[in-house]
Amino acid sequence: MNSLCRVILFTTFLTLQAVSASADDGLQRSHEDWSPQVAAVLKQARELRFPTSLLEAKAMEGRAKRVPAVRVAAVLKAHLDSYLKARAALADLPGERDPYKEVLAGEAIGSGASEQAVRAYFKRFPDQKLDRFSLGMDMLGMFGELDYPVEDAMRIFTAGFQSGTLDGEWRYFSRVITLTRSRGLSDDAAAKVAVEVLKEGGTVRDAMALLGLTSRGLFEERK
Amino acid sequence: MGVLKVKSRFVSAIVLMMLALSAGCVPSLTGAHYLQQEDYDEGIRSMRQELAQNPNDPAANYYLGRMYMAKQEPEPALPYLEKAAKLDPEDSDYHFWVGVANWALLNFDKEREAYRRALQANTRHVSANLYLAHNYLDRGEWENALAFYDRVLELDPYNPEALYSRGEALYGMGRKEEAHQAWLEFMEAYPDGVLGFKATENLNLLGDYTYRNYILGQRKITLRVPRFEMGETIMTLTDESKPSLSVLGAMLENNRKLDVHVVVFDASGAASAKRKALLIRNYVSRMWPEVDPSRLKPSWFGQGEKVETEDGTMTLDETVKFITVVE
Repeated sequence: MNSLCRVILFTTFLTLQAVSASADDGLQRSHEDWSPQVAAVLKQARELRFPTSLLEAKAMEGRAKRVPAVRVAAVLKAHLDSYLKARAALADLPGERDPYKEVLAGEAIGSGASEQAVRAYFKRFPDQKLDRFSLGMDMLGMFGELDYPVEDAMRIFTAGFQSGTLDGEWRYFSRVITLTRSRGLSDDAAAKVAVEVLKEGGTVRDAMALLGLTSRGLFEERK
Repeated sequence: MGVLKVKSRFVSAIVLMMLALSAGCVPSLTGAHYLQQEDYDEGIRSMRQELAQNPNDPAANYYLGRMYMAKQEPEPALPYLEKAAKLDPEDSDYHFWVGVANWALLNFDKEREAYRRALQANTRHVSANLYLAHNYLDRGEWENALAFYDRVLELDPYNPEALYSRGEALYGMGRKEEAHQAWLEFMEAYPDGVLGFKATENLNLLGDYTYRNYILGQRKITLRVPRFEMGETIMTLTDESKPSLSVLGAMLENNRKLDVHVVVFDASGAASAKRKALLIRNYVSRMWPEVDPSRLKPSWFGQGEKVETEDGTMTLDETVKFITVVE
């Protein structure tokens, strides 16, 4: 799933979650329209007590793009498997189980985060508000795609959550890490700079400049 | 003050009215005007009005995107810039700004693609060449970066970013001596500013201490290190040392709370080091009579200074440090 899709789907997820109580009936009704394969996966998800809004958004996207139902069902099944991995990874952690957060963790695992990374995140930031929690989890998935060290990721989240400066602009910080790696900079150095900038309330562009990357003017007339 | 503001707005309104009358309210003229005036909110309102009447006007889309970019809001800017580029693919600026917006959104692949399109439309677009080079540089694609920096310098021989960055590309390729020369050339043209500071750091790491970065008072400043020459009877400062000492003098004159240690290291002996320190003090106080000589506190060492370079420690036989006096 590309990043834009991820954001769109996640926004959909949050929106649907916000109105979940009233929307549940409507979604139930829409299930009747799904192909049997897709409906079976959604049914299984409900039986396992996972929120299905994200899966349904994905299914709707597939339908809109005329993707064959079998393929859509396979994709949904892969997501559901990731949710189950997340649930298993988090099973022995203290506190009440939150199925919405389990879904977020599952999505991160599906993107490439390790179960160990997801556990570490849950242990350290169990009480973050859902929007922040989900942003961090989304980033964790993208860090996972890069095999970015879990400890470095946790340092970035800690600085960002503590200072309240981790916002959507940082979502794609993993792309900056791709650049710094190609420039031969260590992951540790990238994390240090990110932590420093987050503590000061700076922007990703500030971090890029400190990492020795080039800059662009957003204002001036150029020829 | 208030009257001036009203006057300025009045003039602005007249200019806009004339533009509208003379050009049939062409969005490119009004958009450029709002951008130049840095009146982005009004510009956005105006371009939105244009688009309500003619949603496929490339210039209105472009300038609306540019207003958002100027407000540091690349996300809403991008769709308008993309639409402008789609509507008028021959306009290299439209593609160029699609690239800049993508950079701001960390979409580095799309950024590169947009600059390439800009260059298809106009191979001589300096900024598209420059930013494409930057894009390559950030990914460690040194050869490509260097080729485009050189292209920029063909079109704009004193482009500061290209002059500085080609040093980085050469260094990345392991061509350190050429990188060294590139940064020296940059410093000849632009001896101060952020890039001057970085170039000096790089040169120092390569063991070249022609320039040094100093912290004087609250300011970080890059100065050419004073050098000396022996005449038949007396020692004097070299001509190229004098501009830096003028900067120092001006800083001392502007900031009367600033006092500076002038520290000379000279492997040829303490007497020579002392003479050089006093020469600097006397030169500054002579050129800047307002600066009391006691504010330049000379000290000297009859030995070289040990400095760190990327190859380890080395000794500079003759050098000068300026250090802020802390009360």
